[in-house]
Amino acid sequence: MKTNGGYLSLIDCLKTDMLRPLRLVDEAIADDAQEIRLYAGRPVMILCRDRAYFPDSGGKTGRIPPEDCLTLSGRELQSVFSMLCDYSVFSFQNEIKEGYITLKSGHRAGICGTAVTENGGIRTIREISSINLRIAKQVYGCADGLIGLLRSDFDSLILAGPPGCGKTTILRDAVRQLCSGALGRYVRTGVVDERCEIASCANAEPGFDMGISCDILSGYPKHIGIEHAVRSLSSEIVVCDEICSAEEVSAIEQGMNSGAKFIVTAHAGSLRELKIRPVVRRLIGTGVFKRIVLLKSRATPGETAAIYSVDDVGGII
Amino acid sequence: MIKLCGIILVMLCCVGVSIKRMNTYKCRSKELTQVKKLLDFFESQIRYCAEPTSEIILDFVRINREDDCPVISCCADMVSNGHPFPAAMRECCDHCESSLTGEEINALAEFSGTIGRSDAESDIKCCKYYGELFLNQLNEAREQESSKGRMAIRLGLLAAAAAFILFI
Repeated sequence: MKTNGGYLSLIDCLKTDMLRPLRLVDEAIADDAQEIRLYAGRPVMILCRDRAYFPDSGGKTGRIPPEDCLTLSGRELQSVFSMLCDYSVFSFQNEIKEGYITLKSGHRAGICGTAVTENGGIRTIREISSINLRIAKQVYGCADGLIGLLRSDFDSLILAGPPGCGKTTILRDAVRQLCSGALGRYVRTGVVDERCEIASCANAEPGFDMGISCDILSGYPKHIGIEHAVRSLSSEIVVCDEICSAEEVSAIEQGMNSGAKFIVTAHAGSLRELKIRPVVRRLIGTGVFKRIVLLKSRATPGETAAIYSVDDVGGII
Repeated sequence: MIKLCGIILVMLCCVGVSIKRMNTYKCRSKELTQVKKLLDFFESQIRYCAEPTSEIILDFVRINREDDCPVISCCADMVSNGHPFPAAMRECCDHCESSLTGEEINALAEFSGTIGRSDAESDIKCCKYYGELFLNQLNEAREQESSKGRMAIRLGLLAAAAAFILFI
C-alpha cells in the first residue's frame, strides 16, 4: 500500500536545531514510527509498532538509551512547545485545554504538564513535562475492506479499536474512496474534523487527499458539525472521529432522522470493552448503526479483527 | 560664473538639508502609522480569527501594500522564508534602517517577544498596551512633523536666501 506523509513530514514541522538528530534516524525506523515522545530531562523516544528506539545526538538509534542519547531539558521542551504553537499559544488555547495541539500535516501533539484550573475546568497547561507527537499517515487502500462493506450495504457503521490501531487512517482513506467514486458515484460526505486530524486543513485546503465530494468541517465541535453537515450541506454520509460524549450521540440520533448515514470511530480494544463502554452502548442503542468493525492492536495497524452485526452485539450487550 | 555656481550649490545644500530633515519627520510618522495599524490588525486577528502571529504579519503585508515601514516588510519577508515571527522581528529591529527612534524599535522588539506566549485575552491586552504606546509616539511624531518639519523647511529657505544675499 502506498503511504504518504508520516515521519518526515512531522520532522519538517519541528523547526528547531534541538531535534535535528531525528532527521538522521534510520529510514526503516522512520517508516515504522508511530510516535515520537519528548520528555523533560529524559531521553527522546521513537515508538514503532511494538518496540521503542532511543536516538543519540548523531541520529543513531538503540533499543536502550545510549550514553549520549538525545535529551531535552525542561526549558528546551518549553521552547519546542512554543514552536509547535507557531509562537502563538492563543491560536491553540482551546486545544491546549483539551491536552493536544494539531500540527500542520495532521500530526497531533499530546501535551502533559501542570494544569492551571479555573471554575473547575482547565484554563491552560504550564510547565510542559512531556509531548507525545503522533504521526499521521495517509495509507492508500487501507480502507478497501470498509468500502467493500459499504458497497454491499450502504449503511452506518462503527469503527472500533484500541489507541494507535489506525482508526483515523482508515477513516481518512474511506472518505477519500467515497469521495472519489469508489461506490460508482461521488458520495456527498461530511467530515466533522473537530481536532483537524482527519483532513488537516490549512488555508482551506486539506493536507491529505480527501477526494472530491467532501465537505470538511474543521474545528467544529462534533455535535454542531453533525448538525451543519446534515442540515446545511445535505451530506449522505457523515464521518466523525472518536465519539465520546452523550451530546455527540444525541446529534447522531438527530442526524439519522434526517436520513444521513454515519461512520464513526470509538475506542474499544475488544468485544468486552465494547460492551462496558457507555458511549458505545448508547451508540448501539440509537439503532443508527448496523455493523461494528473491530480493529486489531497497535502491532498490526489497520487490520480487522472482526466484523460484528449490531444485532448480535446488541443481543450480547 | 564660478561665484554663481557656488551660490546655487550653497542654496541647494541649504534647501536639501532642510528637506531631508523634513523627510525624516515624515518617514517616522509614516512608519509609526504602519506600526499602529499592525498592532490594531494583530488585536483584531487574535480576537476574531485566532490566527498565528506569522500568518497575521503575512496577511498584514498582503493587505497593506504601502511599503512604508522597512522593519515590518523585512520581518514579513523573513517569516515567509520560514523564520519564526519573534526571531524575525528581533533580527529586523536590530539590522533594518528605520526612522523610528531607538525607544520605538526596542518597544517593537519587546512586543514581538511578548505576543503569542499567553491566551487570547492576555495577548489582546498586550496589543492594546503597545497600541497606546505607539499612538502616543505617533501623535508626538505628527506634532513634530508639523512644527519642526515646517520650521526646518523655513530655516532652509532662509539660509539659502541669506547665502544668496551674502554672495551678492
